[in-house]
Amino acid sequence: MSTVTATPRRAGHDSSNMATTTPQTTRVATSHIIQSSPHYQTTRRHSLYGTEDRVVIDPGSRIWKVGFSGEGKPRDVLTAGDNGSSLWTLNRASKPAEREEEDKMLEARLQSRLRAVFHDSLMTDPKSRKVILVEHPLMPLHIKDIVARILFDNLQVPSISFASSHLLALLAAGRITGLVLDCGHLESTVLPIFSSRPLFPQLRTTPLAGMRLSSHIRALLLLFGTYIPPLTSLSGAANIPAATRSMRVPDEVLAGPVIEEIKTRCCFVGETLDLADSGATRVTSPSGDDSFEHDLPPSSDPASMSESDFSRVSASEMDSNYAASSGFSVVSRSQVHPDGPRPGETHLQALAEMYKRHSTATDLHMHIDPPRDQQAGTGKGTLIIPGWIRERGAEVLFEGGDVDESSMAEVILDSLLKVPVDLRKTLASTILVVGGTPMLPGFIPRLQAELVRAINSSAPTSTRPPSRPGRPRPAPYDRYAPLRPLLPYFAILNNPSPPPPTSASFVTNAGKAPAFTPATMAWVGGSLAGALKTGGVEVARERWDEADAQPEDEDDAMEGTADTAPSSRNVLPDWTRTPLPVGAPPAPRPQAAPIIVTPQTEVGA
Amino acid sequence: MAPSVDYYCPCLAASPHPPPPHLPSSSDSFHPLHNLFFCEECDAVRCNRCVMVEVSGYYCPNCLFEVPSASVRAEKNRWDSAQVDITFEKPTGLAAQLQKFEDSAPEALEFDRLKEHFEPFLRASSSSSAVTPSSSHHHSNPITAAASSALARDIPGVSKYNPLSRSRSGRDKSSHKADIPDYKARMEVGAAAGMGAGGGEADLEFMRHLETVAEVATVEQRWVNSWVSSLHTDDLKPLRIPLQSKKSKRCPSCRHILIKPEQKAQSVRYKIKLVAANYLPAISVSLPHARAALEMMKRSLNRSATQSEDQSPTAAALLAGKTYSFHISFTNPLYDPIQVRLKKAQAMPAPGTEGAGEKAKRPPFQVNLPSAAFPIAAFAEAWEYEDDEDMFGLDDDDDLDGLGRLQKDQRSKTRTVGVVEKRANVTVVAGEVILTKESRGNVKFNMLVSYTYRSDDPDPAEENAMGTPSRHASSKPPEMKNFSFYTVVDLGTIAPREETIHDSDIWPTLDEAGIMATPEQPESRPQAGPLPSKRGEIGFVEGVDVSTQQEQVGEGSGTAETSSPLPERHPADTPVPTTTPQEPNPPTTPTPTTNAPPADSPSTANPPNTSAPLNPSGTTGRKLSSFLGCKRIPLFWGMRVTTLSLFAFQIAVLGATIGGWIVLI
Repeated sequence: MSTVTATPRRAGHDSSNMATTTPQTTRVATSHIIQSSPHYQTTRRHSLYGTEDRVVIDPGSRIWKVGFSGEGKPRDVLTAGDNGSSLWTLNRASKPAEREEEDKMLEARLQSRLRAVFHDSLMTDPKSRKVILVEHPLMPLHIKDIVARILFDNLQVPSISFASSHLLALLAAGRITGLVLDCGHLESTVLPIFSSRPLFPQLRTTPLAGMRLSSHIRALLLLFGTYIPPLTSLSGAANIPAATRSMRVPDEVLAGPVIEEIKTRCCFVGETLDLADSGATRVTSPSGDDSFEHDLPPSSDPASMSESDFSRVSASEMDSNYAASSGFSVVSRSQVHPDGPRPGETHLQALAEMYKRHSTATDLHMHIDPPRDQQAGTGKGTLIIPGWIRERGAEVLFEGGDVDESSMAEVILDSLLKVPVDLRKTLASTILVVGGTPMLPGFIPRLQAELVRAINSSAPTSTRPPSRPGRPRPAPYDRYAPLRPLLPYFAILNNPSPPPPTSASFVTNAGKAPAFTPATMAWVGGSLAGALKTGGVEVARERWDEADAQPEDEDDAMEGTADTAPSSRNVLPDWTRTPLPVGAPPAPRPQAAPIIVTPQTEVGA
Repeated sequence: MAPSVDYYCPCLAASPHPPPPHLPSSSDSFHPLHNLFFCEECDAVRCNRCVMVEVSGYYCPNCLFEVPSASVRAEKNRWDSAQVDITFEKPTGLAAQLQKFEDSAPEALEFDRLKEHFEPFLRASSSSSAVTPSSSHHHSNPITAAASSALARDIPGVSKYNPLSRSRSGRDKSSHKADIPDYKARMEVGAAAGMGAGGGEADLEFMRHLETVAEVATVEQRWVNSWVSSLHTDDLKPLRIPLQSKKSKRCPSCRHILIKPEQKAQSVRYKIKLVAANYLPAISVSLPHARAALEMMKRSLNRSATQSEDQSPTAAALLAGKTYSFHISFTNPLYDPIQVRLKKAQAMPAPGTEGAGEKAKRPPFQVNLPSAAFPIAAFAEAWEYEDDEDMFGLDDDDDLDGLGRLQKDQRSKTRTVGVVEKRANVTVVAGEVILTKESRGNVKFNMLVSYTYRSDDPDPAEENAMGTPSRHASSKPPEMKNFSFYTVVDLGTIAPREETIHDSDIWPTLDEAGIMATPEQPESRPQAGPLPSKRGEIGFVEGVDVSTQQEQVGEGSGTAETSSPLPERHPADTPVPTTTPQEPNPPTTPTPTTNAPPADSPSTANPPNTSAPLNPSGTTGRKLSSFLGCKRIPLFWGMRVTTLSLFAFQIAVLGATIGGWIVLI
């Protein structure tokens, strides 16, 4: 398998190297230009004493990137959530009182973060700095509202520009047309953008993202990881072999920051898990799908849930069962549970078996702090991370088949299916992957392979004999059939190891984006937009204050919900508030239908 | 754990009334006094969440060099001092030299190239965008406006859109290309990956054969790089150190400076400092029963420190279904006496409709606070106090206390609410909290503190120049002003009812201790831990200071605790009608309780020497009060005699030496 995949990759390497020979020369030229012409130097120096450089804030649910526009990299990157958790989630309490309380907590946290951004990270005066807020298209409106309120009221910034993160990322890649996948912490979102116009109605999203990856890795480690607690005393160190001390990973050891470190330092994405060994170039393999389903129970199966569901279930079960099994301190490598495997575990066991066969990564020993109640030992405990978890942990992101939780490839293809046909080829050839999760080594090449596989595997798998003789079997549901002709055009702009171009006549875009990291691309785009004196709809503070002051009187009249939030909302631009285009006239009402039927037939006749 | 008082700043809420303290979000609105500022113009408390922060100076944390703000901007808030693998032409201005490196960093060059790429396009489109019929809801976005101008030329093609003619899409793209040429990256990500960065094949191989975690740089070390960088820890480059800044803070509404540090990086002083501690009385709260329990625990366990530490929380805990007294001490920072009035904040009906309903089912405890206004004497420097003044304050205390005492006597000691103690610029009042049987969680309530003070009605300009203006007593005709603020009082966690079993385990030991306690009480007092004597600001008379040191360990060091002998004041001692049979400390009978206070209150002014006679006096508790009473005045004078005699002796020695010199000469 590895040889099969390695050969095209190597070729891809060469091609990319060859392709870069031209830019190499141009680079020399341009760098000369840049150094010889003091244009940018002077403009930058000029803005030193002024405050025209805007502050660019890319507020994620977990990680914030902040800096000044016109600079190539953010000044500071900070974790916004408290110890590994995210600052907000996509859930909100349903009761109004609880929700109000939740919002207050969020506002207080956001306020301290934003104040820290200006006062500690950037050390600048917020009153004299315009702000570019990099906004995710699905950022909850109430959060956007709170952020704006803090920036205007508490920090008193002169203006805020809201710019779509996907569009900005595309700008950083030097393009204004493309299909952008942002794989963040809470969710992954695909947004097609044509000619710098985001096609918001074609946006697709999936909850498979960084948070899901974390919980999956955690579940796998709880089941298959090994933990060696620190020695209780230094004297007995030589006597007890590590193997006898090893135990199941205690739940409390795997705190958020530990998982985060494992994810960012140990994990990577291996090549496609192709059991039929037919490689990425396989067009239609009759047995491919079936063998795939052998190992991975299809989620359409009513008796089973999706794999990730299992992992979550087992993780929670582990919590309750851990107390019972804690006496069981010496465990074998297979980590079989004493009281027999549970349904979720058998599935994970099967998964593990398969992953192990397809992984060559080394096991890692990681030193971590022992849990609080077992602190009596000496030094740090050791967590043994199996190599296959490192390599295959991210499989959860590429595993499709669930209608509600599309895989990375499926969410891209779904979005492509929705865009107008004449844009499909353009967009398919300019896919850009941004966000924190694609920072995993191997993520983007894998996504490329998965795109190809998803299109191919949706093809009719076999020509079984018709169920009833004499009647042709109905065509099987082929989801991505309309996209199959586009297959050679699929290209990810920032693919670090682009596949070789399939046809000589076709110029591929793969790997042609500037080498900005996926995680910072949106921020860099924001900085670029700021430097170009453009970027997003700008809301000035005067306008905010006006809108804030006016409806307060109305509120008194209405004597209803006294908070000013709904009033200020109208000031903030958001694509969800844009009026719907006047399209086709609405469909005739059902009751009117019988009357219309006759003239229609007449017309038809 | 320890009872605490935090002050309310209304900046987060729309209404001036504080949020109910049981909400977790309320903690963001309450702050310790030492974190608060006071704006004289607005006559309002300001907190760190609402003040406007300005940088008043940058400095290097390594060398304390003060960096001019112009070069700060040029050098991106950083100032380097570490250099590895980077050679410098000259030893000065390293940042400027490094700046060149940073300007030629790949991301900076690529960024400039991107800018060049988009600029002509934007310029061209901005001129034409005025003509183009921009779409209704995107018109305000310059980029989309620019793009729509490009798109406008394509619109005929789009309108002729026909699903059958697939080939059009290709032409569309090519026609589009004419408008915006494809961007050619300076360094493409594919090429960069070939050089071992950016998640390419090389990185995969490296990760696959990883031996230790340490080989991979942490994400925090990598995430500021916007350019693809190597995963290897070995490839990390030293970073320039971010500068530190000194900040001044302004009132958000009137923009007056609240605090401003001195410019010099080495200095830790402030030019202007309007902190709330100089304006609002400092409040601290303590639970006398907890302190008493702690004390007894310490004694009965014979200085097995660890054990007492383990158990003290349970002994000091609040038990559901009981009534506890608590002491709130107020320290006046002003140069004028103030009158303080307390009020438990009524649970304000929250804007949300559910608020009222929730409150209705949540009366886990009831708090009684002294309702009458009580005075606090003016702040005075330590040397301004004299014994006479102390006496005067003492009398005042007696007079005033009469009210509270009277109540107590007449109602057969059921009420412990009132002024407990008054000395120097500190007044201690007692309140009580009645816990219902079902109460859970923290005993936390909002308290409105309002005080009247004599306003100088000062000239604001002069005020600011003076630094802490209201401390200067002026001779102008006094005008009384009122100021009120909210606080939240947290008395601690209510121990769940199940722990009564555990509780009864503990109380017997206390009982045993209690039996011995009465005779041994005086002994316990000298044993008390040393009270931190750092009260320079509050300015205590030495005598008072030492007399407090005789007391048990108080909670906040800056707050003066009651100086009356504790056991009598123990809330458990006062037989409350609701008390359970387990109620501890029967030995102290009501009689000493009633007798004690009048005898005690003089002892507030006891000079330090009291401690010595107290030790022998520990034979009988019954005699204690009378013993104290008769010993008091001699002792009082004794102190003066010693100091005077010392002084006289020194004079005599001086005189004798002078005389000797004269004789010799």
